[in-house]
Amino acid sequence: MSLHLTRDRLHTFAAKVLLIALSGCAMEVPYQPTTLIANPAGMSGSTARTTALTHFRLSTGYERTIPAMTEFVRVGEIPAGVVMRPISYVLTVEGANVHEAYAVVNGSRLVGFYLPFEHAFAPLSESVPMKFSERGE
Amino acid sequence: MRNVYRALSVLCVISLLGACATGPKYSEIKSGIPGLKPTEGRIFVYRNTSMLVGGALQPVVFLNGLKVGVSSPGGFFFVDRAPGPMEVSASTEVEKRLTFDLAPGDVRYVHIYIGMGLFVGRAIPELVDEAVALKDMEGLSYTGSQLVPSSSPEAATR
Repeated sequence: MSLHLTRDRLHTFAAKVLLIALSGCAMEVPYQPTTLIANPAGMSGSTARTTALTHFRLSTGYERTIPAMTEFVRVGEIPAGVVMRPISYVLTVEGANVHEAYAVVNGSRLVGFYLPFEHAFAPLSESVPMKFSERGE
Repeated sequence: MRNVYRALSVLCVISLLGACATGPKYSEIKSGIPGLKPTEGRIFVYRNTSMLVGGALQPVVFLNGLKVGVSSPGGFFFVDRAPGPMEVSASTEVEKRLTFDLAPGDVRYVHIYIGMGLFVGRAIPELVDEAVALKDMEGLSYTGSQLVPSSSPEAATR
């Protein structure tokens, strides 16, 4: 009886340790390789500011709100949309690791992120509205 | 018994204080930090003074796999590098990497904070806005080796 009780306690303890260990292991941000087609040489990208807050949530559980009036510059395109790099604002996405991210916009919606280190696209499972006021080149 | 607890508490405080960075404050040396070469970028790495979690931890900081410094509570340092992809990590129980792109003339700020781990704290690098970093670093101590004090023989021969 006491042997069973001790074994049960050990199992419970092991399960708790495993649970704590797993909670420390965040999921990696899902991304796929892509090719950025940069703005044509000699042509600086157009800049634009967000007109409202943009809130997004990744499948890793990471959430973030990009403030209104955040300035971005167009750096190029990938098949998923136009790639906009924030100016004077640090945008990162986070899972098991932290990645600098540029916004990928398609038809006034934020569809995901271009990760410049990984040369990859990290899609949002649900796109969110992201509106800009153009300021020209 | 109470005396034993008291002695242990004092030892803990002493060891935590010993882990704190010492050196000139950012506010004192910022005007003496050399300008950046136009062909390079600069990365500041800093850690706030908080002793609540992992105060005794001093993880080695790696940039693209090479050791560039040690992250001490209340300390900062910087490195200049050729532009390109950068990966920052710190050696603790669980390694969390930070990746970003460094452009020519860029100055980037990496804040290392200590999160809760299974057995000990883990160092987490995050990229922060310049305005936040400059405010954070104001009271931090320089722990790097790029700046040579003006009184040292090495500086005198420059």
